[in-house]
Amino acid sequence: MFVIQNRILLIVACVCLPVLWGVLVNSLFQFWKNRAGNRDKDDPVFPDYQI
Amino acid sequence: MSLEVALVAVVGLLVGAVSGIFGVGGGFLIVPVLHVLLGIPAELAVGAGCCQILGPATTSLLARRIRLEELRLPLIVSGGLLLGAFAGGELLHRAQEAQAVSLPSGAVPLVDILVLVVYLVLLLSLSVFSFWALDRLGRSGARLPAVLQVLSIPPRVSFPEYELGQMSIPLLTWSGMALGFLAGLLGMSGGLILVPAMVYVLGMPTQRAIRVSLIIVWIVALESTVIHAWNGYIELELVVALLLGGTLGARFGSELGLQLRGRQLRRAFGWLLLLTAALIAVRLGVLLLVTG
Repeated sequence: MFVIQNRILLIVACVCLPVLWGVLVNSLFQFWKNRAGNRDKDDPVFPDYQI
Repeated sequence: MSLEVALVAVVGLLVGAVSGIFGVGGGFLIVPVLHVLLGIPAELAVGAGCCQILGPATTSLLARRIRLEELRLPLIVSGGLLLGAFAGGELLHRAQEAQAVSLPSGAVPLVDILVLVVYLVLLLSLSVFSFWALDRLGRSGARLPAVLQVLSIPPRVSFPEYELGQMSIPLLTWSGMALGFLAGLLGMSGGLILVPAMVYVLGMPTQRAIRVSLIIVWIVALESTVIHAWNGYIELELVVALLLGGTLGARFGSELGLQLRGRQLRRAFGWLLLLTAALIAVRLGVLLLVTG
């Protein structure tokens, strides 16, 4: 029972940690963008996939 | 262990930079580099690879503001993704539990050989396709025959939002199964295969293909993460190191990548795939030929 609980906790941590990190990074970029005052009205094209 | 984590962060930085330059996820680099260069067991490298993908995939999804109607195609494909990811994860688990193979270099875990061989075949195929597509398809803008549109296994569905004609649902889900299998076995997100497949095989506009790919990558990374975490193949400190290094590297890489032309990038990308395949081939050669 204890082993299963640990596994479930690990799964939750493994899923939540990178997702929260992703949300945090996005929020930081949004914050910097808004602070710089160059918020685009158009849907921006991000250079994350170019191939 | 702390030195290993610091090295993993450096690997994350370099892989992130490469990802930023070429605009790919980088999962295909993480596993070979972690395993071959740092000596991290293949199953842990696979687990860390697929778990860390969730971070950048989440950022990209949020930044692109995905609309609800764009989820239709990815959700149809995800019918096969889960089964495939489960099968790939199960194969990895069984290979990890199997007896080590006796080679001239000594006893080598079967899982190491399995992951390296599949990666080698996949990367070689992709690099050949990459150079071929660059020369043949890149100039004329021609496409490959749209296999999924030609084969008519019912039921079929059309996707006007992606400018795609009628497509077979079973073929879509079977393709998802194959992708999920690779993700489960190799710890890669599949974006490396998805984007060219959707652009060249389906004829989807590149920006739309990227959006669909991102959603599918996120789903497959989530499923693979759950499966590998259940099997105990994810070490969170490796994931944290990859996330930290990867984010910084991707930022620098993106700026560098914007200064290069598309054709230069695609050619360099082909060489990157070939170089990674060569790294794996050398490792396999050492295991097979060098006496320990």
